[in-house]
Amino acid sequence: MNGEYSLDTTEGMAASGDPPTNNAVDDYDAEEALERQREEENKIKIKLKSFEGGVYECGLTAAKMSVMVANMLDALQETDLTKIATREPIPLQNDAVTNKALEKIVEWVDHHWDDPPIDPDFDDEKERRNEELSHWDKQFIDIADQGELFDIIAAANFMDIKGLVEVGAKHICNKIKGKSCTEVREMLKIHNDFTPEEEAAIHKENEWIYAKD
Amino acid sequence: MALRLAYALSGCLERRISCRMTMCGHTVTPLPQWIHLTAPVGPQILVTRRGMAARSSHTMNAQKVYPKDSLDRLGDDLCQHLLSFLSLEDRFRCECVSKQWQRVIYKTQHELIVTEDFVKLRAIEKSFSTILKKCQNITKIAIISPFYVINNSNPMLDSIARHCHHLTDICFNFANAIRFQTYDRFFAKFAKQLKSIEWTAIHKDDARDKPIVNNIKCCDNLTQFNGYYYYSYFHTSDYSEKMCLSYMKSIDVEIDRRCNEKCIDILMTDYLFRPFITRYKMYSIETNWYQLRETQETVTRCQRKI
Repeated sequence: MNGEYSLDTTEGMAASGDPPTNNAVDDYDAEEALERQREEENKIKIKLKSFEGGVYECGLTAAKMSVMVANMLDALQETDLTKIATREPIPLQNDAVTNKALEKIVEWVDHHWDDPPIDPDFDDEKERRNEELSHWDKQFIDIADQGELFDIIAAANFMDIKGLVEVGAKHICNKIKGKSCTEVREMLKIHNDFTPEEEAAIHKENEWIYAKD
Repeated sequence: MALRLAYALSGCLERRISCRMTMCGHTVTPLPQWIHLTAPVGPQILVTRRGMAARSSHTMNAQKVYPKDSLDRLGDDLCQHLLSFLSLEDRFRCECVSKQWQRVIYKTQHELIVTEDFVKLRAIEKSFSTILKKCQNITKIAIISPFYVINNSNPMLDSIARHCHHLTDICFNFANAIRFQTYDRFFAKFAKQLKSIEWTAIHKDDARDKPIVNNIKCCDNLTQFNGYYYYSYFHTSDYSEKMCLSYMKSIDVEIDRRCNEKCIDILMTDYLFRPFITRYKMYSIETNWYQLRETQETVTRCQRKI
């Protein structure tokens, strides 16, 4: 109820169009302009090429969510953005960027392109880290084939898409939650490189955690 | 152009392996200088690395090929980031999954919050130092369990002083029967780095609380202080002079009927002379309505004066 109410008031303020100070007007306009620019830019499509050779199209703003792609586009020093669209596809040279993975990544950035940029402010960061995944993200990342899931995470890490890596991380941590060592190893197919003695020693050190069970 | 980019990119891949550093659990990629790289890093490198992602230096030479659906294929940095969303409990349960996990799993634990359940169930006094030893990067410790659950808090404070190196936030709501030496050891180590202190004593024993007040005065970088039962110190003459913590942003003080007009006066003036303070909260937990009203009146009188 509360949320709805406050939403109404902000809408009312925006409609009446007279925020209290000049600064606010400037900030508001600047934000609006930036928003419009991002929207325009996203209509320009660029091509990304997977390690396996598949080419996928993606909005410019969306593609720039990958810090790696953004840096690369900056390095081209192209002032006429529309020309970028006619360029050859950008190759992503990491074997994790398979056709399937890139297809999924493009799907993710296309859905998330208008997310607010990640705030480096630590408090916000902490809040964001504790946030549950959205319904859309949950469905997106719930992938039966684990190899594909790891491909996406590794590829997102390679392309430096912070938000997507985080979605993957949260998904995996949700799966690990409450499971025992053996169960986790089985699930994620991790090779146990401890000797039985080493493992017993760790168990002993961490005894307190099993006290409840 | 496409070819040059491809080279530049494989160069980028190589650099990312070597230059990646991790701070506070977030992967920081240095500014890409790869775009200027001209030496072609041939595709053969990518071929040998097929099926395995970047690993950190000491496993780099291993030519092992990991199955695609095994988490082992991911490098330390990424693995550390993935596991940074686990709770403290899950971290301890999963330490023995593999050596890689053991290496990275505790690095991103920055908080330790000790609640009543935690204390009752897990014999906290024994495991507390183990936790601190393993989680080297803890910056915030909050012990919010009531005092009767923790019989002796001296060893806890001592192990914090011994094992923690990056502590900036401390909240101890159990500060009972703590020895002077323990306080001194604790503050000798952390006085310069503490940014936030929340401190509650159960008793109202002036003589026993004096050491912590004196120690807090040495914390130069404190920006937040929530203290309870502080009435008796805040009107002592040395408070306003010595406790000139210039960076202080937020202070909570509890006052009660023993706090007289002069004391509140000092608190208020103090507020005016500290430009950084954005939040100054004074409150009272007097249960007696009459006393509460009296305190309120004192505060109002002082407010009017200012």
